[in-house]
Amino acid sequence: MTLKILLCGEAPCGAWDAERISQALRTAVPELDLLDVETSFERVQGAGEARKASGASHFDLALVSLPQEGRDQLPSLKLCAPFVVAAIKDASFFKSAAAAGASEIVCAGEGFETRLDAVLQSYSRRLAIAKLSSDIGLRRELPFIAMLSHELKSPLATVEGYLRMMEARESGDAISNYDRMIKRSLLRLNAMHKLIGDIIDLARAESSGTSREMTRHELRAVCKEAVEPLLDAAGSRGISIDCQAPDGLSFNSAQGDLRAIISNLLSNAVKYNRSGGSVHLSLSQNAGILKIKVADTGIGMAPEELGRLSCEFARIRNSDTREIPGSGLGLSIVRRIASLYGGSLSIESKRGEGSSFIVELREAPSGQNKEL
Amino acid sequence: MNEHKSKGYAGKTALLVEDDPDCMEQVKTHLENAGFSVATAETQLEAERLIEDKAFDLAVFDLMLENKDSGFILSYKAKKRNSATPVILITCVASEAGLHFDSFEEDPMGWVKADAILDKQIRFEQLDREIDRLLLVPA
Repeated sequence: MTLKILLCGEAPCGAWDAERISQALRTAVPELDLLDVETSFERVQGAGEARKASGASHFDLALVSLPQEGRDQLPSLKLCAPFVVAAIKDASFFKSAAAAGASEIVCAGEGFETRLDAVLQSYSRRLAIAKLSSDIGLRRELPFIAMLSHELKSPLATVEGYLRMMEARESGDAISNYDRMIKRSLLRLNAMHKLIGDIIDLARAESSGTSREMTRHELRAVCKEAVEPLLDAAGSRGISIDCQAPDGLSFNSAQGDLRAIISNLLSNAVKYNRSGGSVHLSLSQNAGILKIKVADTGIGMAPEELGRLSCEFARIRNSDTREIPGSGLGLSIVRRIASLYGGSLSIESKRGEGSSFIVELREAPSGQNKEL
Repeated sequence: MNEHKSKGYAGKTALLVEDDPDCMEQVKTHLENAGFSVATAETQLEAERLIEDKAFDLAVFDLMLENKDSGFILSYKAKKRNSATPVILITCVASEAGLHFDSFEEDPMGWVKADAILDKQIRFEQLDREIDRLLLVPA
């Protein structure tokens, strides 16, 4: 088990020292040695790099130090991990850090290291418990539940709103006056069905520690199963989908995992594509690693939008994406399943040109019931 | 057309900030039926520009926009622009996020600048009551 910690900037007294921080964590939880817990660190400079790093990888904790003139960067510090800010003794800096969502703020000055150690010790036990109990993880506490509630309640609230407007005959007596409300209600209910399906997929992928039966799956058949439901939507906008997989390519996996990965990536590639665009799915295997790549000629993403994709329910909202429905859970599902196979998801994208999503999975030995 | 009882809001302006297009349409229609001239924004950033430009007679903000606390930030900025502007927050996540607000309760830190927080499963009669209360319209 590895606790991943992001270090941003240069802390007072050189406090962002990996060895020192590891020691502080162990002091609170001496059992960490018995539990085979390691700490890994990644260092960045500045809020922009921190945001990008936390968007690309999961971190259990981030320690952030910015110079006084760096306070302007604080509002943009949207990290997908709890983070501690080493602040200067300045009220407005303190407020900015709080507004940016800092979990803890430790002011520089005499006694800084002692105060920092106390903060680290309070985190270490929570992190260890969260990891050990196979719960969904520290960073997914209440905010995930709040977001899930928001995503489930919103469509219901809007459908109810339209029905009340119809009940009150807000637009007169003719049913045709309500065609748009009826169409929007059906669209929102359909999106809700998809969201519930995604939540079930995510819950299934999250149930690590449960023995899952691994069987051999032929990849061309899985691709066909994933592509089929998208053909109507793609065809109606002139979007082509092609698939390249070597003949006979197969992979040992739990039922539904490969389908979930490929379906979610293809669905996004179609949704965020241009009319007349294309989607290219390619699969290859080398030295036991399966590589799944989905490339599209879609609207693409700016770097700051890319950094937000690691959060659940993250949807890039701009003028191009406003009308595009989605649960925001698709990439969480892909990422979680990939991690079960010791793999990863990487994303390359350019606004206005398109995106590529690459998943790599390590194969378990054939015939094994894998405890994941 | 259902005749909406006028509360004398003709000539008054409202700022509505909501990223859900359906909720936006419903609340905007209701406010316009009540006589408000409604300016709209879909993001915190757009709303901040509108708040900078002018003060409104009423503000209605969704809590979660591009940031989870956009509504709080906009409330603060709207009050800073004009402390007399009544602000109503609408949200789906009040109880799940542990936000139990009583609009009559003074919050000890003075952080929440909204005058009322309503659940997004909004009943327009409730919205009307809050608007009347905040704009001090006699019952």
